[in-house]
Amino acid sequence: MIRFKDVSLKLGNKQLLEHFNLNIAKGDKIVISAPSGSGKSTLLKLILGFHQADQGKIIFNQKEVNSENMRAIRSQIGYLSQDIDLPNGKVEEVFNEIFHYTANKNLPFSQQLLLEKIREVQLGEDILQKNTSDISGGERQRLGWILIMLLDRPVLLLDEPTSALDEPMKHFFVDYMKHTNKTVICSSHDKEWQTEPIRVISNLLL
Amino acid sequence: MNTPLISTSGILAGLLLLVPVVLLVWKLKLGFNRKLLISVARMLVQLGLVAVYLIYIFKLDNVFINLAYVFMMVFFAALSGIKNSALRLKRFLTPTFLAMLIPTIFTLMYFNLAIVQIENLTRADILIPICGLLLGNILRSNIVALKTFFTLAVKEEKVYLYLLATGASRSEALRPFFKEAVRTAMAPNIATMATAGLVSLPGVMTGQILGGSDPALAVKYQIMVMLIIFFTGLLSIILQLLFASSQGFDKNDRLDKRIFRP
Repeated sequence: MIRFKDVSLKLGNKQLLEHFNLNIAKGDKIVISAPSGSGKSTLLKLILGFHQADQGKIIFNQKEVNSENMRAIRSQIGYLSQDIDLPNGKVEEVFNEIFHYTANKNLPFSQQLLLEKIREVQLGEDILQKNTSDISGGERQRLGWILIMLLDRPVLLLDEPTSALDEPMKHFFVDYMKHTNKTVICSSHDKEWQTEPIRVISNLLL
Repeated sequence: MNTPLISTSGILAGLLLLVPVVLLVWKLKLGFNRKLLISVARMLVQLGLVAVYLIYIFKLDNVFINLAYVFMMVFFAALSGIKNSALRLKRFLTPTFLAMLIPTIFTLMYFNLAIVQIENLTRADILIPICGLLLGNILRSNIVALKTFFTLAVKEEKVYLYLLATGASRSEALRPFFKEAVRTAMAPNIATMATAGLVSLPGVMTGQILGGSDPALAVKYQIMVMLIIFFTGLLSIILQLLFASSQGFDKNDRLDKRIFRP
């Protein structure tokens, strides 16, 4: 499904990846627990085309990632960035806007569905009326998860997706990931992720 | 016409006001005396020239000369707009020129045809001053819009990328910045309309009244001018930002940081 072939990337003065190879099959679950600053986020951003490899290539669905198929690839991916960078605005409006994008228009989305998910991740319904700049890290992260669940993409790229959650919530999402048939690449130091059938990669310099 | 003349001694009296200004700037160490004097000198030369050649342009009132003059004004507005932003001149000059030219020409024609309803659509003594008014305003608002847009695109790049990853197209992901840029740039225009006549008598009206026009006609012109300024300004900003969204990003939709001057 996703393949890194001999990928090298230098950002600033730091050689993050050198001849990096990784093969991820459809439905695989991978957690990368390499040390901070070793390029975990960068690895995910390479797949999204937010960085470009200096060398080597990235294959997505048998096709090399390039600017022509970038949009199509992005629309296959659900991404949680480290800080869940939601735009400024009322939570409800931000969600509405996202589900009005051309690429998302046909997805099932309604106030009802949103509220259902909000209860599922144990947020209060009043969160919808709050501004994205006034919510806590934990709430933000759960909103990110809701977005991922509603977007329902086949591939998930998760960057420290449980860092701001309490233990029961961490378990909730790890369990959710274990039982999905989606392909998942997650960067996390949380030990909850280090469980079967999730494959653990602890070093990116192999 | 009953406008009182300004004599040479009157001009000198006006310039005399620069003496306390320069002294104050020097005493308070504000540090812009040099810039100020250069600006005043430029104003004197430029407006002096305008006074001389406008006489001829008005007298000739030739379609091609008038339009060429408008093009030139737009060109200098675009040049100055890009110089005042942190963007690279080369890449942005043509789009900025077009973003300023298209709405300006359209509005000028509309103004003459539908509002003032004159037969000679390129009549110099209307076309050129109105064009100047429009451009002065477009210049200000486009600088603000571009600056807001790209400042946000840099500052909130993560938000932009996050939205791209949620399925947004480039323009969908840029929409928050686009909205903010238009709002910020147009806000002063809205405020000016709301306070017109209360805070100050706006420029066009003042000019016409000084020129001896009937205040009622002066007011009509002022209202129309405010409306066309708003219309042209909004159109120009939208075009400018659309061009910016296509020029300022690479094929992978990432902000191309080479557009900024080092």
